[in-house]
Amino acid sequence: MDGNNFGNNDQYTQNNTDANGQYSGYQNSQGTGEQYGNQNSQYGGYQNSQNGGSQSTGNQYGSYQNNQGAGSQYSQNTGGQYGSYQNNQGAGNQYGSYQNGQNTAGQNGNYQNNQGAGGYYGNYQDYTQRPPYPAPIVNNNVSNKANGLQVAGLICGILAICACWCYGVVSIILGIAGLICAITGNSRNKSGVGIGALVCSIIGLVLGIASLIYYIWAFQYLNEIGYFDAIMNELYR
Amino acid sequence: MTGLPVHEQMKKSRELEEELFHIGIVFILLGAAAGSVYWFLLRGRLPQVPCIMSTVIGLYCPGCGGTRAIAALVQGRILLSAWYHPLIPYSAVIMGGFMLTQGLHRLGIKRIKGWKFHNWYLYAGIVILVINFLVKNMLRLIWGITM
Repeated sequence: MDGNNFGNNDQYTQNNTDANGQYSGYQNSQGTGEQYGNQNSQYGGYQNSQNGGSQSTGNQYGSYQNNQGAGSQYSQNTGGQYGSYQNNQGAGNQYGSYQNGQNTAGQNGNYQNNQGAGGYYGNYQDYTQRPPYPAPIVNNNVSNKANGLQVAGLICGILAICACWCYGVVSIILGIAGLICAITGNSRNKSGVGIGALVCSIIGLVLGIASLIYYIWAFQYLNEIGYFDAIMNELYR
Repeated sequence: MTGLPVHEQMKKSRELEEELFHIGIVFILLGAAAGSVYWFLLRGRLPQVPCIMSTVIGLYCPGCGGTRAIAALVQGRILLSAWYHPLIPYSAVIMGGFMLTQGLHRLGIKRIKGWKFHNWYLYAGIVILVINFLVKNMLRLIWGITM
């Protein structure tokens, strides 16, 4: 800053023509390099800026309204971080114009009635002149829908729980089959059915093992007391 | 599968149903083999031990009544089968319908559309299983009504 309101590095001046200043003109700024000015300034012109501040490149913030400059936050700047707020025609803004902007290659697009191109975020309304948003990135290889192995695993798990009374053998077989199906299916993709298959298969397997242990113990006990032969004779006489 | 194009969703659905149909074929073959082994080799050799849960704990297990339900269904007594275990006739309708329609469709009868698989088939089966377990035990414990 050289003591001149219109000099370099001025702050909050008007009609600045400076370069590399911190703030440019608040209204009708034509300076360069101010905060609301043009080249490499932090903020561009606030209203009706047609100056270099709003038209410069590399500003962080552009003009607020009716800017035609480039490089400011809400302006028409090129390569700036934020675009113009209203009626902008800038290019290369990070955030595009709020209304009637025409940014090009900005990071964030216009808010209303913008005509810019290449903005990172598209228009909010009136999408007649440019696509509003970039197409959403969808990974088609990932699906949350259950696959056949997960469904089979869940069926096996349910049947394993139901069949735990059958000496445990059937339940153990179904539980192991369901567990294999569930693990294999879950390795392909994740889904609620796969988790349910895993849980049901484990429960069925545990119940089957418990049932088998019980029956083995029961048969041994009945055999020791001699009651097992009596049952068999009663059943198959 | 949200976000996938419609044709991709239809393709994945067809793949799932084809996979389920093949798994169903394997299940049928394994079931037939196990049934044959039991019928020709083990029938009459295994002791008819009552349900562990029913005898020890005094509660019906989730599978209690299953054998009787299958026997009743084979004999055509659908209501009795549903009383013994409603999951059996439900599974017979859902699985049988799916396998039958998918099989006929694959055999070349294009007029018959194969049933599509929906997850609610499974969820409904689980709900039926839980409700049957609760109701049967409530009937037994509170009112003394047994199967």
